[in-house]
Amino acid sequence: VYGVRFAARDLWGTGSHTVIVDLWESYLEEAG
Amino acid sequence: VSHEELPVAARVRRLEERVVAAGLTTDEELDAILDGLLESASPLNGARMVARAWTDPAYRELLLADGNAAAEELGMPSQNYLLRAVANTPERHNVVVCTLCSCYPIALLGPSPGWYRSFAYRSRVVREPRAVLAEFGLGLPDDVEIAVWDASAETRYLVVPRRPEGGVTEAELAALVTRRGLIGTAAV
Repeated sequence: VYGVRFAARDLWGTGSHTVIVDLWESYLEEAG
Repeated sequence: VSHEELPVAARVRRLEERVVAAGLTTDEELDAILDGLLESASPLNGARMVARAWTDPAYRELLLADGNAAAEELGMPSQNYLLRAVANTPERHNVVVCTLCSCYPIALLGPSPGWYRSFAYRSRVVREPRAVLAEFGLGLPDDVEIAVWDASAETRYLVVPRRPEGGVTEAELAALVTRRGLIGTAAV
């Protein structure tokens, strides 16, 4: 399980806060 | 939707009936387990940890690095999840939610408040935390960043508020800490 931090703008298109969620490894893909 | 109305609640009730019918346990035994859990569960536990962190830099370091070890050091009931403490600073305010249900460190914060379990809180605080906190009476300056921590069955959070004025001894400081402060919907 990883704690992944998202910018609210990336999740909702608006907002200046951050949201940290637990994501299991199987949900994650290697970037680049 | 209240928890009692959810399909999972009906499944739990059926499971309870079956294990009791099979003679594996009794209603009284299940009640005793729940009573034992709730008897020691209190926001005073989380408040003690925060007050210690305010007065003991080494404990603060431990709390922020390993919440479970910090809880154990003060003799708190054991946790079967990862406890992560997040500290407020002048630049950042932390607030906790469980968007899926109501995951929450009951042993350290006591039974969760109704609003924490409400759909309105769970759905809104991740989208517009500044407005939600303002409705709780916590107005934050625009330059304070808000971090929303989404708890799960695996990881649960405890907010370490900023130390307020007043209070000298650890006990006096602990008395200033509220359950809402430990969730992040109040300053302390």
